[in-house]
Amino acid sequence: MQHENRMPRLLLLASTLAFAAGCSIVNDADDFVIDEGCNLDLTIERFIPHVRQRVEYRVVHEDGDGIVLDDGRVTPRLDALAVFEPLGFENGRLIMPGSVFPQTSTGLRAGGVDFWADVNRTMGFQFDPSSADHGWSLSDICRDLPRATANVPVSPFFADADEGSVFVHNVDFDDLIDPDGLPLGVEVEFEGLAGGLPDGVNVDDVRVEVHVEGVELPARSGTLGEREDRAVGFWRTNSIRALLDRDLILTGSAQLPSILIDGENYRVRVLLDVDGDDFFAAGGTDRAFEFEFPATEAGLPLCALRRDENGLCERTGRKFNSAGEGEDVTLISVLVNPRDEPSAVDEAADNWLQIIP
Amino acid sequence: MRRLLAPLLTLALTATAAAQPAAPAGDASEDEEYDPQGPAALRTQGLDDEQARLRFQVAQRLYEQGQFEEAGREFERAYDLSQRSSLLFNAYLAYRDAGLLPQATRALAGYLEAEPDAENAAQLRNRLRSMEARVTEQEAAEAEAEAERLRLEAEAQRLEEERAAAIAAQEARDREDAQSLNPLGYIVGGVGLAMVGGGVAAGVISSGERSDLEDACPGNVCPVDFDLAASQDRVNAASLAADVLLFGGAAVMVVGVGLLFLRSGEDDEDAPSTVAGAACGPAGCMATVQGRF
Repeated sequence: MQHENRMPRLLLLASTLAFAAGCSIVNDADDFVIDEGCNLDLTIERFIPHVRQRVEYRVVHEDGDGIVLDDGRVTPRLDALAVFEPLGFENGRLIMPGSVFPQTSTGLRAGGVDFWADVNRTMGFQFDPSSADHGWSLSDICRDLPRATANVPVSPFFADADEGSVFVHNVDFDDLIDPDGLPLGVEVEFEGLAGGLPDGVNVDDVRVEVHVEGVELPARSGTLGEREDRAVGFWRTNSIRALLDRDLILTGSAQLPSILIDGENYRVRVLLDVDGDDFFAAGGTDRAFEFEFPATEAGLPLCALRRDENGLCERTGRKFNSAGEGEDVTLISVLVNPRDEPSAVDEAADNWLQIIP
Repeated sequence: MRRLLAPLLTLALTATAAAQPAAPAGDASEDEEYDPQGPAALRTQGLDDEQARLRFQVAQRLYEQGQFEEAGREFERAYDLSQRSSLLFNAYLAYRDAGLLPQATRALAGYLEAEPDAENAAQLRNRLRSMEARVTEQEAAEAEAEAERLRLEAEAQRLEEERAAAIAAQEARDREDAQSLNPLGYIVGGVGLAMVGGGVAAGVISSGERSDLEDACPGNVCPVDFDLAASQDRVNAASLAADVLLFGGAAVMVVGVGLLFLRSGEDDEDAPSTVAGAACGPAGCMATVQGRF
């Protein structure tokens, strides 16, 4: 008789185990995701040796079409370019929304950034033990970022400082490979800006930035039909007069070569930090000028904006190529002058650089 | 009454034993204090030897102290030494007062046999007959009680033997049950064990698939051209199989162990001994068993 009392307990045990079988798992792969790329979000620190030097960031990845060099390395694809003329700060954080490509295939280099200081002032990178430029390479910078915010456009003034990459200056230099760039670039020419500034503003103190964004570019994932906006170019100087007075290659203009896809639309925003507080504030004296155009080698749609005597909008510049040799390429020229109508400053969208005291 | 008569008895016995030679049984009439119903009636004739006298005195003292049975025995011993029939009468009285009817009857009968012509012989014989009848009845009752006692003892022994036999039979059945486990339990338990083994194998496969996935996707981030969905399907399918087989196998093994101890149903032909079933659904698998232990 007492054995009959065991049956409900046995059935309860069997039911519990059966329930557990449906609710517990030994293993799963739900925590894996496909790389979607990310913002370039790089903070550099202690760059005092390079404050007065030209510094260039090259956002690159390997797409499988690179050239294999003699030393076995493969040229990466240039996805975005940031140029500081000169760097102008010791510590700073740059965010270029959506500029880093995902890893396209196993074994290929995931999206990263090669950056270098033009120590020998040749405008090109040379890795020479005696008189070398200082270069560093960071690969796969998206992998450790929080996936939910990896591609969210945000100003570094409002972003969480822990979410980006931090690089502290060191002397462990890398031999950078010149990337393969696109055949089209952009040049921004400044004309008569000093006369357009408010009274009392010293043009020497005006910080100028150029932001170049692709409008509905083919998605970095390569998925057909998917399009996205993303940053492809950044240029900065902290003294426009120094730029205008400079009788060098970049006299009076900002050049960002090899970043435009033929036939795609781009938006260029030129920002002037008139009040000199290193922040582009809305509603103040800071100014923004926006130009949107289709990039093309055949047409010169911006000629109407130009007032040069030849009516040409086309210049030649130097293209990035794997051999590091100069190659004439087309630059879409944008002329900025005081007669252009300023656009509104968008603090959250226009502040890509935060200089950290 | 006894306390009042005791000094008289003592005085009479002492005076008689010390001053008079033993009298024949027929001299009972000379005992001016004889009372057949009390200790004063003790007969003292014939106590002429020392041993008998000492016995008599001891018996007398015991009687005074109320130790009637011992007094009766001492009177009888004094009689054996002296052959004075009056001592038998004394023994009769002592046994009578002790409530020992058989001994009193025997002593009185001896007295009347030795003194058939005693003064109150007729009265004593009537008493003797009454006493003998009562002895007979008492012996019969005792015999009957003894017979009942023996019967009850036999019954108790029989019940004890039956209980021991039942225990032995139960133990034998338990040993038999333990030795003859339900073979269905072995089958189900084996199936469960095989399922657990399959679960382990599926778990190893799942871990291997995940390891491959981790190699291809460092930091759990995969290249764009990687077929993540297919890899996830492989890992998750193997994991699900491992889950189902491990937990389901464990459940089936438990059921199998339970079945091992299920009776085969020989005791009850009307009900099936065991009913086992298993089913799987979206929430998992369940195994059930019903039966009698």
